[in-house]
Amino acid sequence: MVYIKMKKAQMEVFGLAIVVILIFIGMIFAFRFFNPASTDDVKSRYVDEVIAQSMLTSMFSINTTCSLDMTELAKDCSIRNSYYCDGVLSCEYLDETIGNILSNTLEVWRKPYEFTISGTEIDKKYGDCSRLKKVPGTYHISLYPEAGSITATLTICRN
Amino acid sequence: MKKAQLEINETMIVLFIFILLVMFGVVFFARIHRINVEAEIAARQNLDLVRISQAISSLPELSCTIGNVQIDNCYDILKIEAFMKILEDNPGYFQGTLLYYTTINIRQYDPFNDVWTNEWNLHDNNIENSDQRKIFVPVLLYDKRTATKHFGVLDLTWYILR
Repeated sequence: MVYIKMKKAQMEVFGLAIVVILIFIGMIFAFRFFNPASTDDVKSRYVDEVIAQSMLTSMFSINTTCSLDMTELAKDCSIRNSYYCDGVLSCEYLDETIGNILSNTLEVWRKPYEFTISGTEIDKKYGDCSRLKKVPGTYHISLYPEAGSITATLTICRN
Repeated sequence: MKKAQLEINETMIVLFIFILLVMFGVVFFARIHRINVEAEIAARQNLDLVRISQAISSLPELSCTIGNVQIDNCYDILKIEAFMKILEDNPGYFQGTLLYYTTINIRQYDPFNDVWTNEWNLHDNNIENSDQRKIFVPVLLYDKRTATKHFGVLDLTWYILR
């Protein structure tokens, strides 16, 4: 008799445990599939892509205070770094100008970013991008008449 | 009789707890659904902001052309000034088709001297006590008088009725 009572109690506890497990699985399912971050991800990513790409095309199209524009300065910086603009070499001029633009825009808007130009030592960062999703924009610069090309990459990081 | 009553009580308690759990589940899912819908609306509104900013930049009244070629994401400074005058004389121009309830500012930045040099308030039709969505888009500004290109930022604020 005692044995039967014990078994019934155990069965009830077992049933309760199943209910708790089912509720727990339901909650995991809800968090997994109804996560608001995943639904707007593509759209928010697109907005950051537009900003990154617009930033690069605008930045490399502007005229400088010397006769070369930003694209030509980037070419010189990558090939020989011999052109003086406002008394400083092209790489230094480029580095300062790009730094000013990024610090007055993306940094003010609190958007973490990583910026590099391949073939040069220009490398800028703001915020910690290591744990964030990265949205890159690229701008290719031909080195013609030299062979090859360089790429400026601006990666905007987001949650 | 007493035992039967006890069993009815037990059944009622089980039913009560079951209904409570179902209600908890419904409320929980409704809240999550609401958060999802709000996030979806926010994302769509951000996209609409990009759509408006791109539509503005491709307006012939504002876009810049160099040698008959239209430049992407570029605004002609002279056209901006002329467009502002048009909007001043005709406040309803583009109101219901493109500009809606927005504030649009274009600012010019001189990265060589690290100063913001110019600001044009293209459109200002705000709604008080409304929700706002903002976007900043880097743009190119072309000055035809000097044939020079400058860096700029388009600040677009969209007012949304609550």
